[in-house]
Amino acid sequence: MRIHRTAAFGAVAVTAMAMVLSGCSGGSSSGSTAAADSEPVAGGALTIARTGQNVSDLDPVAKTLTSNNAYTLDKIFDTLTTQDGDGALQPSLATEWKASSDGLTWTFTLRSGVKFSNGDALTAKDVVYSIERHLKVGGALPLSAPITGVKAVDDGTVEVKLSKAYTPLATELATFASSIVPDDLDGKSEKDFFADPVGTGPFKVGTWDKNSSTFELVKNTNYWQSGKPYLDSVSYTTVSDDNSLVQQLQGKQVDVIQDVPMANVAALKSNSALTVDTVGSWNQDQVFFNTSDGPFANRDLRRAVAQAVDRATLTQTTTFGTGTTGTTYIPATVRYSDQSADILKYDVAAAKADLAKSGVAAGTTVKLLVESGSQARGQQAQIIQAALKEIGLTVEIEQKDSATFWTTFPSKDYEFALTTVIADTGDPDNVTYWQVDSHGVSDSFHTGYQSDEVDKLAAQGRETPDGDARKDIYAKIQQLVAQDSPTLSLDYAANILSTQSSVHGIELIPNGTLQLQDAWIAQ
Amino acid sequence: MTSTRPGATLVAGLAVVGTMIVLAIAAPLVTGHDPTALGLTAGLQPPSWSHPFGTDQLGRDVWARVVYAGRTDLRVGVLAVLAPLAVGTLLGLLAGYFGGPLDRVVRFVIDTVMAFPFYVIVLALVAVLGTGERSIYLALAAVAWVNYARVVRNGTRGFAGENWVAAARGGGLSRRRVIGRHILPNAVPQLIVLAVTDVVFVILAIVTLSYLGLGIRPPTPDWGTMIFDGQAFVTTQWWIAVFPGLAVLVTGIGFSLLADGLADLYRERD
Repeated sequence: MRIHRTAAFGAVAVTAMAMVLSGCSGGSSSGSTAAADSEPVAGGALTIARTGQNVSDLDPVAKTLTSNNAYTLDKIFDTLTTQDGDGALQPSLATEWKASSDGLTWTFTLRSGVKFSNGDALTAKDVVYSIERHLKVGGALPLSAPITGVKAVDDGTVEVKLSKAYTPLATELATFASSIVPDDLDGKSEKDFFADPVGTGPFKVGTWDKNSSTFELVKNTNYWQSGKPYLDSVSYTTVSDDNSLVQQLQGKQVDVIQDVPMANVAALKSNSALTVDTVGSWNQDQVFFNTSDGPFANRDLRRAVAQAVDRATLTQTTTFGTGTTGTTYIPATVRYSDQSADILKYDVAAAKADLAKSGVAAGTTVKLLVESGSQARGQQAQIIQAALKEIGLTVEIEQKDSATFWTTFPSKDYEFALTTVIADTGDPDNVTYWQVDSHGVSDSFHTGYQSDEVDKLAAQGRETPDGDARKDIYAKIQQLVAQDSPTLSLDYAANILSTQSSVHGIELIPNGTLQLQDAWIAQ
Repeated sequence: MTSTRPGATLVAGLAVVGTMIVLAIAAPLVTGHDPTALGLTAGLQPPSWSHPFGTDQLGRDVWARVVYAGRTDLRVGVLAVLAPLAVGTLLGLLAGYFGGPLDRVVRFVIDTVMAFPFYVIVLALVAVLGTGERSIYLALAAVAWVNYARVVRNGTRGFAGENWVAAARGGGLSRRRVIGRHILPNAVPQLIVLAVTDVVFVILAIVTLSYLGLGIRPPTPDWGTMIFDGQAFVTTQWWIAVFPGLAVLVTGIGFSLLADGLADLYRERD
């Protein structure tokens, strides 16, 4: 299947997932490729190759947000808050934010001295306009926060009113869709404004021809971090497949490649002219069970499957050691993911015991629906097939292309299914709301899973301020869900980046983007 | 293809196809490995004495998979030609012999099916029917019969007006007998050549569908799936994709030689 990274954040293919195809991978180690003791040098043009589609639209609240559009937005625009390489929330255009004691009023203090790329100063009006536009239009990543009003208290302060306490607000305002644009788009029409957008980010659009595979960003000389960005320009080129991606880097045609194919990581690492950097992502390869209908409505059968699969070996083999073994439904890089939760471990004897308890006869055939197009997922399906054969279940693998998969799966016309999903934010509420809260938008991500206790805890988690109490709530949810096993996290993927060793200072973020304001090229 | 040594093409084609068929039938004798047994700790090993074609990512023996995949692909390839051959021949004979409204309807359907690119129809049919061997047979049967029907119809139309046919009818022979015993045999050489050529296309179609994840279901080994699985490793572990690719190539050449050789043979006879 031709690997176009269809990738869409949110929207059609569902907010909590997408990032379709080509698998991705898992990993560790955050941070930058910079040699710590060398001094950044200003100047130079950086070239980056990536797969997927050409940049098509730079409106943050567009109906569909492909990954290449999203990963360009954050170079041109800033958000109030931002995520760092460890997934932690950091100040950006807002230096401080706090919620009132009832959680209903949030106050954001804006950074002073920030200018747009056209020289205009950033004021509270711009922020109010941007949030209101996001609320009104919705787009691919609509705001889930119950916002009733946004107002400018003064030029440097914005107040957001909520109808209900909602802790994930600050994290939600860090997504690509919450980019801050100028008030009233500087009086321009959407079409005109987003053809050459004005933002507060480190770069602005240079050359952009929608029919060409190259897209160029140039330095924003009004950028608020003094002396940055170091680079004069960044040029993206879209390539057709993974093999040409790797060849472009090895042939020194480009400085950086994004989404390095997992199979090539070892070879690239052994090349001393290149640097490889990985960070845990919000992606995971995950099995979903139809808990409302069919064989997997049986909890014991789900538990049998969960214990029959050796996820550690599966992860090692299919991600080439770049991924981390899946545990709970909350990826390890998302806040309050409980990696010590009491999950169902690989234990063939226990799996056989649960299978016997389930009353399902040995030799029964179960159907695994797999989204085709990813080599890794295809292999994972075959590993699951072999593992379940050990406990006496016959697995029939049904591969469907993405379009068919995403109509079959949501209509619950499946027994169990394997796909790759991505969380939209680093807050545990996002993935919880999508995957296990039966009041969420997707019927517990099309599993039909419903647990009164989980629903109650999820509502509490949404309102409880960050801290140990909130952490405990999510630990409890992860525990309950792991034991009921409506889903099975196989592996958490890594975002992988490879560069020429002369490139320094790029920071890789768990949501898949690269931050370039600190990037520089050694001369 | 004209050759100074008539028959050389035929012999080469028979030798290649014969070898492939023997290997496929004797699969359990030529390899000691189970083509579907996973060995997760022994993946991506280069060719060696114990694994002459190396192992794939899941530690399965590539040689074993190539020969077992031959069983699948050759079997499906040959079987998938039979149904369209039968249907196409029958409709072509009837349309050509009787002419009139029946001929117009058959020609209309043939032209309609041929107006679509082959893979567009096959992919659409497989998407509707679901993946798996059964869908391959149905999808190919629905599309491939038109080639046979057209060839047979054109041949039959020519004979239908000839004096010997009129004489046979006049002599009291039934229509069925005239068509079956006298007209059909004239079309057989052409049909055989066409069918053998078609096997190549059908095997390619199966391999393509499997490569796209729409054909043979895992874990049944198949060349197309093997090529897809090996694609990520083309630059590093070439053996995973190259050997099944070579198997497709050799099979294709073998059947093409065979078809050419048969065509030469019939031409000489005339």
